[in-house]
Amino acid sequence: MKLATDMYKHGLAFNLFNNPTWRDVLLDISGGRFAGSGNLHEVGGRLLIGAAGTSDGQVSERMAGARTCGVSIDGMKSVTHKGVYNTIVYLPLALYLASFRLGTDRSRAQNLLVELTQGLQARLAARYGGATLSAWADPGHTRENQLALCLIWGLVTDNPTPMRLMRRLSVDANVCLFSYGCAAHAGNLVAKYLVLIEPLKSALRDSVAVGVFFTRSTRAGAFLARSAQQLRKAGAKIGSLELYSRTRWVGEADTITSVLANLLAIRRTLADNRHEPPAARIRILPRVETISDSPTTELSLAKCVPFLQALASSVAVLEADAAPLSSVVGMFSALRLCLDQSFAELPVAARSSIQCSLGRRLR
Amino acid sequence: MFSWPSVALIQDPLLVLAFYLDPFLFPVHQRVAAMQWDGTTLPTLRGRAVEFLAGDDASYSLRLSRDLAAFLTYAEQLPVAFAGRDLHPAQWWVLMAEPFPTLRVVALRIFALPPSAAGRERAFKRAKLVHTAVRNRLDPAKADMQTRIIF
Repeated sequence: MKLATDMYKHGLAFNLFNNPTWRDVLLDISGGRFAGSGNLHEVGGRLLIGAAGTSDGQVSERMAGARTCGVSIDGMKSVTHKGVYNTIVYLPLALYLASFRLGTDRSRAQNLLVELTQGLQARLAARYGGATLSAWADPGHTRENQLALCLIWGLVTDNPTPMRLMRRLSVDANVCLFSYGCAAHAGNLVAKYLVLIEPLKSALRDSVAVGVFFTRSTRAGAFLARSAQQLRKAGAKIGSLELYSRTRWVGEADTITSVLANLLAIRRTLADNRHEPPAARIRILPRVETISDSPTTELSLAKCVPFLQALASSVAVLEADAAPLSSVVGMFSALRLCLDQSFAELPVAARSSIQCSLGRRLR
Repeated sequence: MFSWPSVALIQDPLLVLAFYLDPFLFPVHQRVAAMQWDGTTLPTLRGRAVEFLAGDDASYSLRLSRDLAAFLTYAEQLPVAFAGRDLHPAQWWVLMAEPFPTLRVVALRIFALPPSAAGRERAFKRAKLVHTAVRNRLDPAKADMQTRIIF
């Protein structure tokens, strides 16, 4: 059972012990006494149910000691392109509660709320002697008792329309006391829109152009890697180029920082290329050459990095395990304070624009 | 003119109350008191949070407000070196909050809540370890069980 549980924890397939090589290894280790936890049906059936029960028991034990919890829900497309929704409980330690599929139902707020409530009711009500999730709002209780009895104080989701509507419905139905959107997503969206104003806009555009060229062109990439390696030997701190990805949180900071760090190696690559015989030269895009050789590029990238890194660090704090709720206002207030007093490298217009945008993030 | 999309950071006054209940953030409290968030200040939002929590219960509202005022005065007197200690605010409220009994109940519950839903993104990562392209015929119930074990 222990071996099977470890196997589940590493996401291994249930037919692992059907493999003769594994069986031989286990028999050798155990002196011929143990050939594995069982066949496909045992590992994927009886043992899996037992291990899941033990895991659920540990979650229930932790929840039994909690005064209240936060809940979050989100959907993803599985490998078979089916929508799967995960429910996580926070104590504030994140615990995975269950997943559900809507099947033939549409992913509307009402359907999501029904599934969420049923799932939570099944797992959480045991602790409360079968009481319903909204029992805390009984007008017979004093307000103080209502708050003390409320099991789910907060529901946190990201910000698509069905999720926002579901948050409102859940508060109306007294499933939770209040609801709010994920602060890390909001911080990420702030970064997404910051790069629509200058000088961050042109910095990201230039970084993406350079990054895409050196990662798509195999020879240019290899030349750059060689230059970077030589510079590293000389003591320069140069990492790899990070391509921009919209799904990486505050990925703008990583992309611009990596291009800035690689600028010396890029310039050296371009200079080396110019000195190659014409037949051996790589064809560098004129735009990439202009960006890399321009004396203003370094300055314009360097202007954007400090604030984007501050924003990236804030989002990293917000998404950390067991981060306190106070970080939401704390982090963004601190960013606004810093914008008042620091980041002098950004133009005043850009700083005012960022200030205004952060100041209006209240709803 | 560039128009900013509606990305809300502070969507509920309780988020502001959480900020004021964090004893480790007290050096920031005073400095952001006058800061405008869409024409509203943080102390105003803090007041709204107390109103929401107390509902129609005047006696509870009075006790809550009295505790909050006493806590804010207490927090102002904490040494600056205290700020940023590596302790979760919930632990501080468990250990140190005997003088604020009404507020303690609220604070302990507020600090059980996460600021972000990042745990859920980590759950997806685990789920993708289980339900891979090679194991795409895995029964969803079994995939869920294995994800529960992994997480």
